[in-house]
Amino acid sequence: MNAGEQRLSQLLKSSVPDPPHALSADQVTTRPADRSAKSWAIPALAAAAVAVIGLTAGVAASHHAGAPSPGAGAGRPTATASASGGCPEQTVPAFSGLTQTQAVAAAEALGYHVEVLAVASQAVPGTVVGQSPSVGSRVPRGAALTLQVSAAGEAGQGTASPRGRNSASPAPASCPTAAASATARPANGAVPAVTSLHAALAGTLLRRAGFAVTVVDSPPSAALRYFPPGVVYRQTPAAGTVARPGTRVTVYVAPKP
Amino acid sequence: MAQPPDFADFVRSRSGAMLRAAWLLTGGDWALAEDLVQTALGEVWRRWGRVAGMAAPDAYAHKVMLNTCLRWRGRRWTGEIASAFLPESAAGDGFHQVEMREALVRALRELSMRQRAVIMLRYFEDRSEAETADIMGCSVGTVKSQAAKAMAKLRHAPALRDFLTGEAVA
Repeated sequence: MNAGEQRLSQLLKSSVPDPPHALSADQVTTRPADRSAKSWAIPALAAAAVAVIGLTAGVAASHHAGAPSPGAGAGRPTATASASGGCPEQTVPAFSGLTQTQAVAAAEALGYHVEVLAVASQAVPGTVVGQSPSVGSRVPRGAALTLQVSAAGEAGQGTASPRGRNSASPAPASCPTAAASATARPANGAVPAVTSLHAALAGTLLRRAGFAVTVVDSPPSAALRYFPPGVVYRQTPAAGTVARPGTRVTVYVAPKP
Repeated sequence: MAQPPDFADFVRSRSGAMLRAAWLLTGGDWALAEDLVQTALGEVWRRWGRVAGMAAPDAYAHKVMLNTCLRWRGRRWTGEIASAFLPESAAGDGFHQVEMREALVRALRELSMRQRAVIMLRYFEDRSEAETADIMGCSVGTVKSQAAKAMAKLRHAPALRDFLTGEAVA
């Protein structure tokens, strides 16, 4: 390095200021950083593809499944009946935004071995802010699923706290079946998770699950600008809520910028 | 299943360094820098199961970030930026340093994306020419020529010229 280069190096190192805000993981997972149409079209298309695959597989498997499984929006559990001995794979649905109780119940109903990890986050304490494996991955039934749950009093809490880690369910010895409650009472069904899906797709999924749908187009606001336009950002009742067929589910759609 | 390193921890520990690098890459624009880092971390998150097992996940994240911004060079980052906000400076920052920083930001915006990337890797992160070439996916020769062109352009900036040629006392 010559003298000029050394001076440049010195200048760069002394000039770069401290970042104005620190980034946290939930910003990464919940905020699409590039708000151009192209960048979010890919995940949206992927979600759509997953959902379409889910729908076709659901149709092909006829109606044996009975009531729809909890938390199954984009990732309706499409249990591909593998001929081999291993557990059948299923698509991991989105759990973020649910409360810990809802998410754990939904995930256990889908046969996952759930582990809850408390993480520092600005999200409402007790809500799921991240998950591993990620949405849309295909993992065998009975696989471990880590839910990252926003911890209370996040400010000083630097690391995932051990107290937040609990084994919510024992590791299953064999392929667990979907929770009995889901099949025993076909009259009532759990509301599928449709957040982060396009409104039309969300409507289709909900109607197919036997619910009536109201779509609310939200007016533009600062709080909503980070959601991709046309995508469901909130639903009531929440995903995983067990409700009678025909219950009206309201989905709130992010505005066009 | 072994628990991979927590993504949240990774973000907490690495995002500061990534943001600083992104600040240089974007020519001193914090909003774009944050967009860039978030996009890069989003890519890392999608592959986290694999990345977490790597010897150096941070190096991978860095590479993703560079590739992202090189892919984004169609965006007019070098275009005139209407609001000339100075980034917030830390307390005790001398006037001279603020002036130099502003001059540096102006000069960086004159550079191409690749030249900023080379400058950032070589002189901010002190990587060797070989490492820089590996991260950018180009030859060592390209790194040398881009670095030389970038240096020449930076010397054109009046405020930087004196400093870089050693004529002014820093």
